[in-house]
Amino acid sequence: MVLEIVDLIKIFDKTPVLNKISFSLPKGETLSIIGPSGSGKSTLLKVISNRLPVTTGHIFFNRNKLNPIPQQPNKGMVYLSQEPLLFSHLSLVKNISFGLNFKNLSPNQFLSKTQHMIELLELKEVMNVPVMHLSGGQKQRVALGRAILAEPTLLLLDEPFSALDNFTRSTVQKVFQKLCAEFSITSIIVTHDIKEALLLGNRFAKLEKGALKNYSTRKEFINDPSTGATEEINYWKSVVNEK
Amino acid sequence: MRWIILFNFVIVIGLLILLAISSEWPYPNLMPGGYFSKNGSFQFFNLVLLKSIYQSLLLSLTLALLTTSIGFVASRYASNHTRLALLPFLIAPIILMATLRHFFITIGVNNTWGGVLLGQFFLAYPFAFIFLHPFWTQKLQDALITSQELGATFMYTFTKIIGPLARPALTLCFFQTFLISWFDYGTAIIIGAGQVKTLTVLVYQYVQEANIYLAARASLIIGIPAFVLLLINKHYILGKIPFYGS
Amino acid sequence: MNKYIRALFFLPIILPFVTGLAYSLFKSFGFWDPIGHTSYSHWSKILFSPTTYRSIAYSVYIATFSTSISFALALTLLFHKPARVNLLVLLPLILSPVSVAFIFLQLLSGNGFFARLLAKVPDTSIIFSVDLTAQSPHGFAIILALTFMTIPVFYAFLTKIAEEEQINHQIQLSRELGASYWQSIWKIAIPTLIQKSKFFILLYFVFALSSYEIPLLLGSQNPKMITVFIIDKIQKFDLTTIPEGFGLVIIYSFLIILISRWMFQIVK
Repeated sequence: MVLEIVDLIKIFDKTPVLNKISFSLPKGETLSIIGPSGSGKSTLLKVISNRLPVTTGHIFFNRNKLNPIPQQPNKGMVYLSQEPLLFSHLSLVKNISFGLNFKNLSPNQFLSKTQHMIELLELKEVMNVPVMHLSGGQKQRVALGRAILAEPTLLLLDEPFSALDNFTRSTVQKVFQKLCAEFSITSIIVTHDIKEALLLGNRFAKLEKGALKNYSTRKEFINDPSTGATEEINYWKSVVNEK
Repeated sequence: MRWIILFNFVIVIGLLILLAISSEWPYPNLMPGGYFSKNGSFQFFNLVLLKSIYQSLLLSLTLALLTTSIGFVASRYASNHTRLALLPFLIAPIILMATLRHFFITIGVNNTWGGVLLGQFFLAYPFAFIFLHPFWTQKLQDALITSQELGATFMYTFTKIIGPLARPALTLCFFQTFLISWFDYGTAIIIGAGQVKTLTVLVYQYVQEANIYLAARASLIIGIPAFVLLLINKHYILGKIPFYGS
Repeated sequence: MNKYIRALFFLPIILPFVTGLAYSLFKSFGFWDPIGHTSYSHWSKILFSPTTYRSIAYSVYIATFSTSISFALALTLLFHKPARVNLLVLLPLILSPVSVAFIFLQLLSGNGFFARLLAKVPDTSIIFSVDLTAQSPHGFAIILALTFMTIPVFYAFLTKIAEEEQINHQIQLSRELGASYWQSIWKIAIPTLIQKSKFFILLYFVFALSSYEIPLLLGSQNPKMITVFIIDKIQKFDLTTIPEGFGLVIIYSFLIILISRWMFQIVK
């Protein structure tokens, strides 16, 4: 198991935002966690990535129990937020290849990995554009590529595509799927979009009012009426079949 | 309202410059006279003035470096009690120093350059703390963590990521704390007690001695680095360029 | 761990202030007095002396007038800005308070620039009937000097706020909705700018109240501004006035803390 969460509780101002959360995540899998706004999805990822302190509970990462120092990064985890946090003073290429600076690569390896990632991200045409002038979708792709090239053990994605328009979101989601396949990424995506959860995940969970419900299969997730998955699927079927 | 500009520039600054280069102003002459001459020889600088410039420069540069660097690190740890940092800033420096003079004497730094530096540090450090606190936005804190998640060490992150983003804010803070020391009179006179003759102390001394020409020269010299800094920072001061990292 | 680091960095900020205040309190009761003994007599001298209240009132009067006038003039400059004015308006920022005090002494003293100018103009007896020179009890010279120093600060601040609040767009919108230019200025722009400047105005009020070098050179012997009054008491050769001086420090600090509470309310 890459990640194991046991009885995690997070309390804000005497209110439990996360209430005895437990789940585990094996290597190479993507866990999609859905939930409405305010259900605690972002809080969960921020607690796992040590941006917020735990109230009680245990986090095991690569079978090691984490005793995190607040606001210190957990080595091997990379967190991506809705707003891509690029280093504005660095170029697109330097942003993407940032993690490679610390990997003892030869110049040729460095260059080939960077170029390959830029091609995968479909950003070759905007390589020389300053990062702050990129579109939202392009920035998110840069952030993704940068995270993956750092070869994290676990990638945490906090509604990374929700700020994008439908077309761009679909493009970036396809890029993400491509990267997951090529690099065998282990990740957790939190989203309120059922379609996105079904498209990108192969394990599923639902967070509501601080409580997490795990599903053992995709079918179980779809068949649970409280997830809204069946309703969503039926709706799109009706739209497609409409005369 | 151009008369305000006229008053600023022509009358005030103009009179200062004229007095600095003159050697006499007999009543009832409207303008000072004897420009660039004093019994046949004119020396803009004398030894006392040069020594004072050296003292003031050394003090101000040291203080600016110290407070900017410590303030930058300290402001990262600032909590919601930043407002408390405003209090020492609001008290008149001379009053604060008068109340602390006994302690400076006790630890043996009264009448010394080091004592004046310490006193000015107590004034400039809260300023740097408050000034640099807004720099540490949540976004920047996230950048600090993200960079380390991507494999960088803390030092690498601080120098290559935070540093470039902080440069405008740090530069302006350096200049402002430089000026706090450069313009300071209260600390120099109370803690320095006549032994540390900064330019501001010299201006007052010359005024007391009724030597208005040397007082004008010292005042003009005080204005020179401030003028240079004003030229460089004009756009930041007027808010045309944001100086906190985006 | 962060809590301790935070405390360490906060120490040089709060410790001098608290130490100075505590020391002043003890000294005001005559502790460590080389010639006297501990007593309340110094406090009764301070609290029952009209000079104390005159000094505080005088300081508040000077600070109020200089802050209001400089803010008003800075506002006027903002709306009447000629081209390429910025650097000239900011010029007073290059002068230290002691230099400003010195030059205003040369401008406003009995044999200063303006006195010499007026001497050349016939029949100026009416002007001389009002004592406008430096070191007059009206504090005109102090107000003028402080205003001179503060206008560029307010101007720079208002320029920044005007841009952030898009004042020009607000005025334009107001005019599109039927208001005249001056109505837009008075009803929209100025109230917005004042609202955003409250904290800053109070801050400079406190700076004016706490100024020392300017009232030292340009102020009268009676009344004196509070800072000059305090330092006179503490630094004089008459050792009996030292506890009174420290008592005045407590009163002055209390006044500053009161005003700062008001400032913090605004920020909240």
